[in-house]
Amino acid sequence: MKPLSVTLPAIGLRVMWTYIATGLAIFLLMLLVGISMRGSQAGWWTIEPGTFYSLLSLHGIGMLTAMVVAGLGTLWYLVSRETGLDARVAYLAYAFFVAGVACVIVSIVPGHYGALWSMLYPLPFTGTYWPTWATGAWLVGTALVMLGFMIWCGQILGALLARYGGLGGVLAVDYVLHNRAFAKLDHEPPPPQIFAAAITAIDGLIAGTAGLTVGVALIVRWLDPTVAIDPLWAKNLTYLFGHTFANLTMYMAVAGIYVGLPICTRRAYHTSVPLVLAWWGTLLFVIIAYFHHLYMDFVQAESLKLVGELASFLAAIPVVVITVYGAVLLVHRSGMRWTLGSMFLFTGLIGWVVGGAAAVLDSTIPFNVDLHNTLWVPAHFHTYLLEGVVLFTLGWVFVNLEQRAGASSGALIRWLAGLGVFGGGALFVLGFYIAGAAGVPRRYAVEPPPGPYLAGIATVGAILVLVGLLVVAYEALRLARLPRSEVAP
Amino acid sequence: MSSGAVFGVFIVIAVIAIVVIVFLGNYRLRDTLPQASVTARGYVIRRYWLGLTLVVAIAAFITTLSYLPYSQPRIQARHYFVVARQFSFGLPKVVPLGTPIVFDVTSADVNHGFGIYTPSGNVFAQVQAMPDYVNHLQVVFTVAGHYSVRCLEYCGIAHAAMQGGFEVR
Amino acid sequence: MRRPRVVGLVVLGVAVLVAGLPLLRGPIELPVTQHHLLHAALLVGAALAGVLCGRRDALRRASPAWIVLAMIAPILAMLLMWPSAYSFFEQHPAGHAFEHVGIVACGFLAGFAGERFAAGVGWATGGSAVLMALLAAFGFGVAPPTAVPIAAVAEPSLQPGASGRRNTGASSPAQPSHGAMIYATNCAVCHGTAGEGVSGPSLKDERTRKNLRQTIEWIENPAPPMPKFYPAVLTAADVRAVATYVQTL
Repeated sequence: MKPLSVTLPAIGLRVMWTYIATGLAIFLLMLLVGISMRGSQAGWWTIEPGTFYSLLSLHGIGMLTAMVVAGLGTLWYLVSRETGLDARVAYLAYAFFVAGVACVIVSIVPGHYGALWSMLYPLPFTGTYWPTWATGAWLVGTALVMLGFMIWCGQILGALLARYGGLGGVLAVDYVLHNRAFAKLDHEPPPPQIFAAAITAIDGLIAGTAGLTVGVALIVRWLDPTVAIDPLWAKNLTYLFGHTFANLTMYMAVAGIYVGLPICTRRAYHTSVPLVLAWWGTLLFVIIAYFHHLYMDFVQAESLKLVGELASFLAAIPVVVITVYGAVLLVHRSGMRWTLGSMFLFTGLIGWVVGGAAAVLDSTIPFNVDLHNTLWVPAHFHTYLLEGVVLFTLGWVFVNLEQRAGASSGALIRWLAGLGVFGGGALFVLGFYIAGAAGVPRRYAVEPPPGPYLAGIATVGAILVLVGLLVVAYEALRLARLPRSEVAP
Repeated sequence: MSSGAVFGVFIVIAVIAIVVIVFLGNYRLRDTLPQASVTARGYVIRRYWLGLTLVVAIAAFITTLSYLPYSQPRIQARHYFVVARQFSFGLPKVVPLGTPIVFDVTSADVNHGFGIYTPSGNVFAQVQAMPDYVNHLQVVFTVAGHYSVRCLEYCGIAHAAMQGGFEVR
Repeated sequence: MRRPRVVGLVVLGVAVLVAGLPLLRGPIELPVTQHHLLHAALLVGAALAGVLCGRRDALRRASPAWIVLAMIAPILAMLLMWPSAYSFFEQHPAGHAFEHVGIVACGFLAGFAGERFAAGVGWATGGSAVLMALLAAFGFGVAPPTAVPIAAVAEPSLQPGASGRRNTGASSPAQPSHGAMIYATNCAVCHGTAGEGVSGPSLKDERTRKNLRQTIEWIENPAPPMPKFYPAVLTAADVRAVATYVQTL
């Protein structure tokens, strides 16, 4: 199979920056939405329940779309360095995202839709406080986001299949099973970031198909209220899509580690057999771990719940044994300088491990009885997304900016950003964790004690995060405006 | 199982993770070693680390098998029909102490969560209340008092106000 | 290049012939699940044919339109599978056959367009169409296996405090009116237990602002943020009862 010509780096970078800038802009807006809700729960100001749940729906889908779009942009560029990619397809997928977000905003702002992003049938239809058209706008909007995602997955899958000679080549089957012969033939397995792209594309297509199945069923139900839908079936598919979509954001962002940290440390990150095995595990576990969302649905078969628990446990092993461990080894005694880029990439590992530990505890069935749908759930995914995915993305952005400008930020800026993002972030997520352990339910516009008290602390933390991120944004703009460095990186 | 203990375990894991990662990153960072000599030792340690995590994961999985909340409801247990609807619970007023009880939980409209809180305010047990399905939650109350019930699945505008309760005597 | 295309066209022909079966047999009474599974089988053939016919030289850049078509085709197939008991096409054998031919066309398109976009992608997009039909078989237009009779659900919930069918004989001495019960369950959360207003406006002396007919109209068609309870949650009789109760506040 003859590889296609490699895309010009300038085109790949333009696609990447378009995606990342869009993702981070949505992220900042949704951060403000989040602060407004947490402050309302603290009793600092009042948001009526109807508005609260509309904002919560917006915050959920907005944040996930932001993370996904930023991650897809990074991966698109990294794949384009290996093989030819048609930028028109990337912009087409981008147009689907923009159209989807527009529909979602219409359904929320004039429409007051408020069934949350992972709505469980029959919710968007029964006992609603918004007009029916808003439900339709929401369903169409989320379907467009899914379609954009699947178009991206289709493009990347096609490009990787052509570049590495079929699915076996992309997943490095021969490299693992016939390692000696592979080396003798002077073949090279795909670099590590390609596995991130491939697993995103494959799991994304499976999850997207499930999501569109329930999405189309709901659209049909919206047009024709006589159509029956099995609520347990809808719940399974909603979580299969929702869990995978949310979980994959991390596996997209991890490409920043594979490519960014070697730049910082001046060391190499090679594909190894354990790394490939880890990605094979991830490919499977990301899809089947979603059963842990249905632990409290006693009608669901018990065996599926056990599959979910085991998959959730095993999913942690590639993370802590291969990826995080490998990244720490890469940094260890490398003489790396602490810049904003390397700091974010490295500390993102902490958010990933800590948020992951909270997730594993919650996916332990006996603990889940106490933690299911308490604030423990947002606690773990805010740790994982804010202190993991966002930091990896920011780290990747800064590694690129610092390289391009041949400059980095002063110690004061690093301390300010660090204090805001980590100090504020710790305060912010601890508010969730303690409330969750105390049994305060999630998704309550008005929380029972000690919810409001902890929400106050969390809001202070979130505002500190915002301040830290504004410092970061200022630095990013400053570095971006510096002239391109003459020194080759 | 108390979620206080889970929180404690979590904090211990989190602190260890932060300390270890920050230490390994910063320890003699300027005193550089070639990558090959770091990985040579690192990959030996990784083998033990993989073994440890695998053993912990599988041991934890096997341990949880004896603490599952999915006991088969007994025929002779007292059954109470619980209907959740936007935004209230149809509940018994009084439930007996010390005998097996089965709550047959369903919903009249959308998905709800049937979350029972102890008199001291901790989660005692929970199950989803789904339309078209009946979930059987078997429990034994060992402490008397007023148990409150909260909705633990988002169900609409008054989700946060959807409460109920019963006496255990 | 030629042989796969011939095989593909043969497979497509078989799929179309199978799709036309309703023409011979007339209306077929099948459970929705089995019907969807048959659709999935049709889609296997159609998508396979699409992939075989869609193969092309990999060196030329394909139009981005192919990938959009390949992603939308499975959705169109699923729309055609609009659960049969309610399907417009289902009423006549010709309509039914037309629906099947449409499904075959969508499956073919999913495989063909995917493969046209890039080699191997057709398997994924065709597989997506088949997977959708398989998944649909277990819930799209399918009533749950252990359906709870509505009467058993609706009745006890109107009487907070009753433990289902066990205590139906023991009624409390001062039984509140039906309207008051509905008010307590659905309205008191926002308007207060005595209509004093909480997050929603006060309903004290509502009768001076709206008469019974206007109250009913408002409950049936409220403006946000007030939830719409009719007809999903409350029946017309319920609305009348609760409106009457509100008039007494």
